[in-house]
Amino acid sequence: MSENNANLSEKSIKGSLSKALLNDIDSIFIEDSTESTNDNAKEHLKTQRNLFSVHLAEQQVSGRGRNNKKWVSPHGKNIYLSLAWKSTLLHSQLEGLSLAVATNLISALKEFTTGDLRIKWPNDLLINGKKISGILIETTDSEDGLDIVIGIGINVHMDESEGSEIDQSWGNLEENPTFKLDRNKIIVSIVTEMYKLFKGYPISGFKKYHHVFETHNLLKDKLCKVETDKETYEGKVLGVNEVGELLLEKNGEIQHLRYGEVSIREL
Amino acid sequence: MDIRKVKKLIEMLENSNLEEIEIQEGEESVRLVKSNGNIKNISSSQSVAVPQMSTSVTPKEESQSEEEVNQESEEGNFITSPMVGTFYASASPGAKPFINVGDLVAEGDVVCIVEAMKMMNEIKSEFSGKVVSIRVENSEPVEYGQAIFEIAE
Repeated sequence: MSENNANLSEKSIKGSLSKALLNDIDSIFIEDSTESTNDNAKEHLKTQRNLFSVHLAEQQVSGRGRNNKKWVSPHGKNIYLSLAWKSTLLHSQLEGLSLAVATNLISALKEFTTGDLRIKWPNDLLINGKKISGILIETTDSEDGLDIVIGIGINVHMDESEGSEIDQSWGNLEENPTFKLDRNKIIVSIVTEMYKLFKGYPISGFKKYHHVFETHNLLKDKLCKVETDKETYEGKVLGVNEVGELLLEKNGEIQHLRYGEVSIREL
Repeated sequence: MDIRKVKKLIEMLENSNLEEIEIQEGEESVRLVKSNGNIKNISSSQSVAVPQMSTSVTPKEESQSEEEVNQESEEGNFITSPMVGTFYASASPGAKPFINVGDLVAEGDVVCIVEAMKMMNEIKSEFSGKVVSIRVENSEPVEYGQAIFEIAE
C-alpha cells in the first residue's frame, strides 16, 4: 500500500478533533473488516452513554444501502462511517434530517474536491454527475428520544474494476485517484460537521439547512421522473420545502413528495 | 397518564392544524394548547387511569382530510404511524415480517418500519397483546396517525 494511502487511525482522527467534541464522544471504533458499520452503531447505541460514537471500517462485508441494496465496500479505499447519535428528537422532528445530513456532508467534503458537488434529493452526493456518496439513516425509539444511526459511504479512491458491479454512474471524491487524500482527514471533517448538526438540528430543524441545500440541489429546475412503488410522477422540480419535501410542478399543480426514486428526464 | 401518550399527543398536535387537543381517560385529563405554532400550555389532572378514551378536538379551520386526527371509533388498541412515509412489514425486502396476525407482541417490540426520505424508522408497540389485524399492505404509503396494527389485550 502506498505511503499516501494511510490506514484509518484513531490517533490521527482524535488528534484533530476539538476538545468540546471529544467530550461528547463515546468512542471511535475502527474495524479492519466488519459486516456493516451501521449494524455496529446500532448495537452500540443500546449501551451508549455519551451523545455520539463513531464506527469505521476499512472494509464492509455486507455494506448496504436502502432496501438492503449492496453498498460496494472494498478494503482500504473508501470511507464507511456510521455515527450513533443519542438524540432527543421526536418523530415529528425527523422531517428534513436526511437532507440536513447531506447538506453538512457537502460542507465537510468541499475542501477535498474541486469538482461540482451536488445533492440528489433526498441525500445522494454527486460530483460532476457521478454518485460518490450515499447516506442511510436508521432510527429507533428509546427512553429519551430517538436513537439515530447515520451511515455514510463515500467512494474516495476506488478502482474502476472494484466498482464494476455498481448499477449507476459512480465516481470518487478524488478524481483520477492518486491516493493523495488522507481518509483520516476527511473523516475528521465529516465528524466535525456532523457534531454541529447534533447540536444545531434539534433546535433549528431543517430550516437552517434549507438555503444551502437548495444551492447544491442537483434537481432544481430540471424535468424529472419520480417513481414510487405505486405511482410515477413527472414534472419540473421547483426545489424542496422547509420540511424537505420535493416540489414537483406540472401544469401549474405542485406535488409534495416524500419518497420515490428520482431520475432526470433526458430531453 | 403515560408520558409516552402525552409525548404522542404533542407530536399529533404539532403535525396537525388543530389548536388544541383535550383527552379524558376516566378522571384523568390532559389539555394541550398550541400558540404561535408552539405548544404552550399543558394542564393535567390525575387520578386513576381508565382505559375508556374520549377525545374532543377543536379544529382551527377546515382541516384537510389527510391531516385528520385518525381516531378509531372501534374498540381496541391501535399502533399508529408517527409520521408520513412508507410502511414496511419486515426489516428488508424478502425478510420475514416483524409480526403476523395472531402473534403476541410485548410493549417495546419492533413491529414495522416506516421510511421517509431514506430514513428507516423502527416503530415499536406501545401495547402488549395479540395482533388482531394489519391494516396496511407492505410498502404502501401511510399518513401521520394512521392505524397500522390492531392489538387486543
